[in-house]
Amino acid sequence: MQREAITAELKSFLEREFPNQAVELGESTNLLEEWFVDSLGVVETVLFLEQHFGIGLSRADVNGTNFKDIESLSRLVCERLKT
Amino acid sequence: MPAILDSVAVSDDLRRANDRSNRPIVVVAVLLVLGLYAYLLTSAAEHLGIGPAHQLAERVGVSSLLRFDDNGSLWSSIDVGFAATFARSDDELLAFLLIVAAAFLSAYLLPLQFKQGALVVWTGLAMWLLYGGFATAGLLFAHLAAYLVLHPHRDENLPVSAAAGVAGYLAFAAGGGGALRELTSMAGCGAGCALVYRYGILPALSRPRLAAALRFAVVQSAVIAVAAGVLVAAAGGDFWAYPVGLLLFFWQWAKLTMYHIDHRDGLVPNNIPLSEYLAVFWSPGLVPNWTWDGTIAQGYSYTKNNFLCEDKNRLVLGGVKLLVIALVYLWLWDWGRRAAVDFFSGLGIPVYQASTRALVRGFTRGEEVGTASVLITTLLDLVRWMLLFGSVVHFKVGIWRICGYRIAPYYHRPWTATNLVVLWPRFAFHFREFLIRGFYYPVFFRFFRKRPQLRVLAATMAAAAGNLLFHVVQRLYAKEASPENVWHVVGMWPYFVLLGAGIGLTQIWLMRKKRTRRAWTLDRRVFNDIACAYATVQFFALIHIFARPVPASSVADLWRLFLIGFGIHLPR
Repeated sequence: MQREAITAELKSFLEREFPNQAVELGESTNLLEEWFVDSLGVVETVLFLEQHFGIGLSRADVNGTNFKDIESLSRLVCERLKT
Repeated sequence: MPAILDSVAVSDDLRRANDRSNRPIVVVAVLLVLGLYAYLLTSAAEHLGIGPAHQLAERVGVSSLLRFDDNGSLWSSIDVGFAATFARSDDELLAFLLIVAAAFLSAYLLPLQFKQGALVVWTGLAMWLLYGGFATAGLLFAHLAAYLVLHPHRDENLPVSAAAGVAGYLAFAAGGGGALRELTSMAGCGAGCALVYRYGILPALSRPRLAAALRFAVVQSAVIAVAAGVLVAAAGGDFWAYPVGLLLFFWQWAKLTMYHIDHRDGLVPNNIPLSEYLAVFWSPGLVPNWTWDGTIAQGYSYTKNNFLCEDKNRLVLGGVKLLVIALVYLWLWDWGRRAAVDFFSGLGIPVYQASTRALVRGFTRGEEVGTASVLITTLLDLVRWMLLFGSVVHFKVGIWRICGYRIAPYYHRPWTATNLVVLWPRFAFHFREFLIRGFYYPVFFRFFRKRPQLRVLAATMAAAAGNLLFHVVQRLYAKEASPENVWHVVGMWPYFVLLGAGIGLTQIWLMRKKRTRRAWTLDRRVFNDIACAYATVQFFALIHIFARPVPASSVADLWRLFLIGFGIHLPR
């Protein structure tokens, strides 16, 4: 799967599941500070990544670096799809 | 809303840039607020020969709204627990505030490479001044042992292991003879420890399974020690008394567990120097009210990444703001409690001095209790407790912040939470993070991967079990390691189960529900937000009935009282 397609699907998921009228979601929007409402947002995103892209995530993957923005999330998905 | 996960690593160049400008007005602001604390809450006025806070309050006409100590200072829940070297708790707090001022000046003015080291030194000095040399040596010994086991690759480890031997001797065996004998014994312990480490522990740490077991034993030593103490007491032996130094180390159990999780996740470099390890655990913000589970249960990556990660003046002023809010909460809780009690008593609704425990006591004695009484008393008690707790944790986080750490507020407007999932991080953010990383994630990433709702529920109940375990361990430190204290907390199981189930079911409901708006958006549905916020806080307040038992109350009594909150009156 292409990186652009992953990015688009992630953006669509995040806009659908966590609507936020105050901020426009871009690839570098800080998800942890500006988008997720609470920690459940992170859990739901993990579930989406695992189910939609078929990748396996571990506890260590849930950190501020991977969940910072759409760009870092799509990078994580790309890496996992390759392996 | 505080950041949900630990933040991103910060380069030293960025830290240097954030450390560039020294502003005298910021220094003055910090010293003024610390001075205000010293004047209002300690014996400083007495030492300086000026009128105490009570006199000032009388002059302003607010003395009837506040509570005062015998020496005229304002009564407060902020203290230095179990300190032993001063006769009065006000003097302990004064000594602590003076050290905080010195620590702030060091962290603000010293070059970057010396800042964290200086904070460690000031914390050690505070411990020595407040708890004495033996306790400080005990705490140092425990941390050196943890460092040696978690970071076995350092070349400098042999001197550290010798230092651990010396600290261990000072903590647990010193004081038995003349100076020469003491020095010889100390040197012997240091050399013995270095030999045991070099030829016993280091080879063991090179074997993966043994290393994992050793790390577990050190990190979980608090739980192991109290469990052993309880077993000994249950078998008819004496109650174990833990030295204060070890107690202080045990109290950092949650923080050490988070450090260990970071270590296992590869977030802690193996070769970090001792000063960098100690900087996580020895900071002035950890000293006051350590019995209020306010150890800021965050490990290496959070602490390291948040040090000078933004302009230091902004960080410091953020800390000053929290310290001022803490003072307001300190005043507000008692004034609010008394005003509310008077108001509802005037309406003919008994509210038991806004104490859930008094409500439980009255109900257990056979008093008739109505639904309004149960709802209002538990709610007022929770608000009282939240303000007290908020003041203490704001004070602690404020100190971390003026020392240069961007630590998220432990407590952040919990009354705006519109469901239980949001309430927890707003009420006890860092403790929630400990439960999530220590108990929720291990279950979430291991079990029921094909069934998302069951996966979430099981993980939440694991976190609830972790919450119970933490409270058991905490009570055993604070009281004594006895089976009675274990059963006391275990007897509160409905509180933990109802809280866990409430959060778990809310998560499932939120996963199913399409979100179309953010809470507290100013539209016509804002009234729903108000109703949801009330229901959330009221539920949390009601389940505290199970956490405030009295000796005569049975679990069945507590369930009856809980159900009265829903308008259900079961026969006794």
